[in-house]
Amino acid sequence: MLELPKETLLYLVALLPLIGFLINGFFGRSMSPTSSGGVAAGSVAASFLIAVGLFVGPLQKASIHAHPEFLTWMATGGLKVNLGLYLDELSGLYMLIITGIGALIHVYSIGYMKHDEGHWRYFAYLNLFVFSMLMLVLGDSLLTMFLGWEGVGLCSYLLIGFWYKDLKNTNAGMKAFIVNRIGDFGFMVGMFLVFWHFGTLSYAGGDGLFASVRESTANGQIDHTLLNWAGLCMFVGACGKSAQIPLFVWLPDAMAGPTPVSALIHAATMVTAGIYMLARMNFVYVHAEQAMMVIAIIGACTALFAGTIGLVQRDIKKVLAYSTVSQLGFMFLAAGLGQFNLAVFHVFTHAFFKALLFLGSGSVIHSLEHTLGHGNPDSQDMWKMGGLKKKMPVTCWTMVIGSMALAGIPLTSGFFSKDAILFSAFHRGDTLGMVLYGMGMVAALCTAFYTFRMIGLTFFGSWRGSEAAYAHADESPASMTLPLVILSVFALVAGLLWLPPAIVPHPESGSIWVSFKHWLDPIWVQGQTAMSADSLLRMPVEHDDATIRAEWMNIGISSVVAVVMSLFGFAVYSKPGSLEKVKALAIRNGRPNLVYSILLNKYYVDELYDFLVVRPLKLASDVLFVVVDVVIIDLICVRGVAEIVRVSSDLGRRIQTGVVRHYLYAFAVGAVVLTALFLLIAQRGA
Amino acid sequence: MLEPKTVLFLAAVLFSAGMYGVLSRRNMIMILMSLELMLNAVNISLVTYSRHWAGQGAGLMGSHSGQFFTLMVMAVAAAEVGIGLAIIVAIYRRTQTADADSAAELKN
Amino acid sequence: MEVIFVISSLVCVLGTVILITQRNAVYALLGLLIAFFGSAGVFLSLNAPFIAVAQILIYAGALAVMFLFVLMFTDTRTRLDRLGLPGAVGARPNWKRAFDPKAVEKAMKFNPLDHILLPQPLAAVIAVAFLLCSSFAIYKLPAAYNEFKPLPDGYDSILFTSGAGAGRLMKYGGTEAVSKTIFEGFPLAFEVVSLLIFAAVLGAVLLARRHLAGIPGTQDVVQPESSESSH
Repeated sequence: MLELPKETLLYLVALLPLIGFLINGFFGRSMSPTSSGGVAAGSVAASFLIAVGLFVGPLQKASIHAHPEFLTWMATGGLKVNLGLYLDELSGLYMLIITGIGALIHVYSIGYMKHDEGHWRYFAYLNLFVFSMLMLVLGDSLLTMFLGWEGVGLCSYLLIGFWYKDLKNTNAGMKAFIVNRIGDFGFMVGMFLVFWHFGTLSYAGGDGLFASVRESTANGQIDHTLLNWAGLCMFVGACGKSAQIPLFVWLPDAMAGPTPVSALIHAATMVTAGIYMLARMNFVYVHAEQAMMVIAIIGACTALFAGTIGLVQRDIKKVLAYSTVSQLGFMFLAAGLGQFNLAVFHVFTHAFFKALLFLGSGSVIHSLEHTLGHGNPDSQDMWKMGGLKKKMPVTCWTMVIGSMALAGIPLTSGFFSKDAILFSAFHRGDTLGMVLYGMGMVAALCTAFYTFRMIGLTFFGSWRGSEAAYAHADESPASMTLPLVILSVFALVAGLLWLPPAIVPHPESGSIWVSFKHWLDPIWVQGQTAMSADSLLRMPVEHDDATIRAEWMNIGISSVVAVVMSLFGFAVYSKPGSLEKVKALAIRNGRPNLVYSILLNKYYVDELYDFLVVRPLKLASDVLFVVVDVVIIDLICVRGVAEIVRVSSDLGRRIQTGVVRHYLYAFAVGAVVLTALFLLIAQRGA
Repeated sequence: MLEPKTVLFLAAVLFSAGMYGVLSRRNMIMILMSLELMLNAVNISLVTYSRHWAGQGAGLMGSHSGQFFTLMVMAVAAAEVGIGLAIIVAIYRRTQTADADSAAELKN
Repeated sequence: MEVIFVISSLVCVLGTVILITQRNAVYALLGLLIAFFGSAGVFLSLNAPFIAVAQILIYAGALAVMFLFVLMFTDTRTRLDRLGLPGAVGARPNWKRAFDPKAVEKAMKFNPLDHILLPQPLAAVIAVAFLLCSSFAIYKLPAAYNEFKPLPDGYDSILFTSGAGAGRLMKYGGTEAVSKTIFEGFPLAFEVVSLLIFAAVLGAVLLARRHLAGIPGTQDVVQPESSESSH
C-alpha cells in the first residue's frame, strides 16, 4: 500500500466513505444492522488509517496537491476547477478529526442503531456525510469546498429528519436547511468576490490563491474594502454552518436527529466547517480588519448568549447543543482576534470532549429508551433522571471527564485551548479586547456551571423519573462504551499538544509540548509574505516577563472560575431533592421569574425571528400565492398553456384519422411542395 | 424529331396520372395499379436518360446503366406487387373489403 | 422512330385514361395493360428492345395476371359503395340513400374527413401541381436535352471499348449489351435483387396463407358491416 502515490492515497481517504455510502445505499436494505454498520465503520476506519499514514508525511514535508487533469470539473473562461485535493497541515488535521472521531462514532452507532429498521439509511447518510466533509476540507478550491459544504448540509438535513415520521423532526431538518441556505448565499457571494479580486478559486498551484495573494500583497494591489466585504460574506456562510448569531437557531433544533449524529455532525465536525473556512481563508482575513472585528464580537456574543441559555435547559441534548454553540463562539472569537491556530486548536480539543459528551448522553438516552419507548421526551429530560451513576458507571465517569474538559478544569484539553483564547483577547489590550475577555470569561463561567449541573442532574442525586425506566436502565454495550473511553482519554490529554508559553516559555524550541503550534504554523505563511506590523491581527506574543505574568494570572483566574463554578453547579444539583429547591427559587406562585423565563425562552429569539422574518415572509408568501401562483401561474400560465395545447391538439388529433389514404395525401402534398421549393431554389441559384 | 424533353414530358404526364389514381382511389388494388403506372413512368424517364447518355458518348456501362436500373425497378415492382397483393388479401380476409380506409388501425 | 413513339405514347395515354377513370376494376386493369404495352413501344422507339420485351413479360404478363387473380376473389366495392353514398368510386351512387340521414350519419361516423377531403378534386389538384412542377423542370433542362444525339457507331450499334470483348460492335440496348452491363457492371445489385425477390415471395406466401394456427391476420374475420349490402 505504501507504494501507492500519495495523491492516490489522498483520493482513497475521501472515496472510501463514498464507497461505503454506495454499498449501504444500494444493498444496505438487505443487510443486517451489524453488517451495514460494519461496512460504514470499516470504510471510515480504513480511511482514518490511510489518513494517519498520510499525515505523518506532510508534517516534515511539503503539502500534497492532487489535481489530475481528468478530474476537471468545469473550465469556463478564466475559471478552471479540478476536483483536486489539497492536503496541508490544516486540512490534514481536519481530515484526522473527521475520520478518527467519525470512525469512533460509526462504531458507537452500530450499537446505538441496532434496533432501528432504518439502520442502512442511517449508515449510508453518515458515510455520505464523512465523504462530503472530507471534500469540504480536502478540496483544493473554494468551489470544491462549497460542494462539500452543501453535501454536509444535505446530510445534516437528512439525518436531523432521520426519524421523519415525527413531524417535529422533519421541521427541525427543514429549519436547519433553510437557515443554512441563508449562510450559503453569503458564502457564494464571498466566493464570487474572492474570484473577482484574485481571478481564481484554487488555493495552491502557480495561479492559485496563495500565489496571487502573495503577489498582490507584494505589489500593494490589495483592495481592502473588497476583501472586507468578501470576508464578511464568507463569515455569513460560516455563521450558518457554525451556528453563530444570528443564524444559530437551527442547531438546538437539530438535536432531533439520532444522538451519534449530533455528536459527529452537530458537535465535532460539520459545525466547525465555518472555522475551517476562516482558517483556510486567513490570507483574506488578515487584509480585512473590520470583518475580523465583527467576527470576534459575534463570536464572543454567541459564546455568552448560548452559555446563558444553556443554564436552564432541561433536555440533556439541548444543554450540549447550547454548549456547542457557545464553544463555537469561542472559536470565532479566537479567529476574529487573528488567532486562527488557536481557533483550530479549540476545534481539535472540542471535537473530542463534545463528541464524548454527546455519545455519553446518547448512551443514557439509549438505555432509558429501552423502557420509555423510542422518541419519548422523558428519555432526554434531566429533571426526570438522577442517580444513574450506579447503573452506568462507564458512561458516568467518561462524561465527567468530558465535562471537566468542557468546563475548563485545569490540565484537561478544554482548559488549554479556552484559556489561550481568553488570554489572546486579554492580551489585545484595548477596550474591545477587555470587553471580549469579560464576555468570554462569563461564558466560561456559565459553561462550567451548566456542565456540572448536567452531570449532577443526570448521574447523581436520586432518580426522579418512572421507576420502570430506572430499573431497566443498564450500561450500554461495549461498541458504545469503547468509543467513550477512547474519546475520554483524548479529551484529557489532547490539550497537552500546545501548552501556553507560561508553562513552556520557549515555544520555538520544537518540543512536543508545543508541537501543535509548529504543525499549524506553515498554514499562516502560505498566502502572505509578511504581516503588516501595525496590524493587531496575528499578534506575536512576546514572551517577556510581563506577558508571562499576565498569562499566569489569566490561568489562575480561569482555573478558579472553572473549578469553583463546576463545584457550585455540581453541589447545587447533585443532592437529592435539590432540584425542587431550585425550582422553587425560579418559579414563584406558578410563574417563572423574569430572568428564568427569558433564559428558558432563549431570549425569545425564535419569537423575534417569527415576528421579524417568518410572519412578513408568510404574509408576502400569501400575497404572492394568491397573485402570482393562483392567478398568474395557475390560471394564466399553466391553465392557459394547457388550454392552448388542448385546443390545438384537439385540432391536430383530427388530422390523425388513422386512415392510410389521408396520410398519403399529406405525403403527396409534401412531396409536391418540396419539389416546387427545390425548383424555386435551383431557379434562384441559376 | 424525337426529343428527350418530349419523352420526359410523357413520363411526367404518366407519373401525375398515376399519382392522381393513387390519391383518388379507395380500392387498394386500384391504388396498387396506379402505383405501377407511376413506376412505369419512372422507367420511361430512366430509359430516356440512358438513350441520352448513349448519344453523349458514354461507354457501354454508362449508356446502359439507365436500362439496368429500369430492370431493377421492374424487379422491385414485381416484389412490391407480390407483397402488396398478399397484404390486400390478408386485410380482405379480416374485413371482407379491399377498401383502403378499412385499414384504419393506425388510429388506435 | 418518331412514328412508333407517337403511336405508342398515344396508346400509353389512352391506357392511362382508362385506368384512372374506369370504375370497374377489371376495365381499369385493362387500361393499365394498354399503358404497359404503350410504354413498351416507347422503349422500342428509344432503342431499348430488351427493356421493351422485359416490360411486356414482367408487367403485361406476370403483374397483370397477378392483379387479375386478386381482383377475382375480392369484392372491390368500398364501404361507401356498399352504403350507396355519393363520393364513392367503383359503383353508381345511390342518391336516395344519400338523403337518408341515418345512412349518412353512419358514413360520417366512419370517416368524417371523407366529406372534407373529397378524394378526386384534391387528388387532381395535387397531381396537376406535380405535373406543373415537373414540366417546369423539364422545360428548364439544358440544351443538350433538346435532341437525341445519334449513337456513336451507326444507328443501332455501340463500340464496346474495354474489357474482354473490346473492339466488338454490339447492338445498343440489345440482350448482349444489357447483360454485359448487368454482370460486369452491377453483379452485386443483381444478386441483392434476387434476394429481395426471394424474400418477397416468402412474405407473400406467408401473408396470403389461410388459417395459420396462432398467427393473427390469417384467420377469416367477418365484420358486421359486410352483411350490409345495398345491392
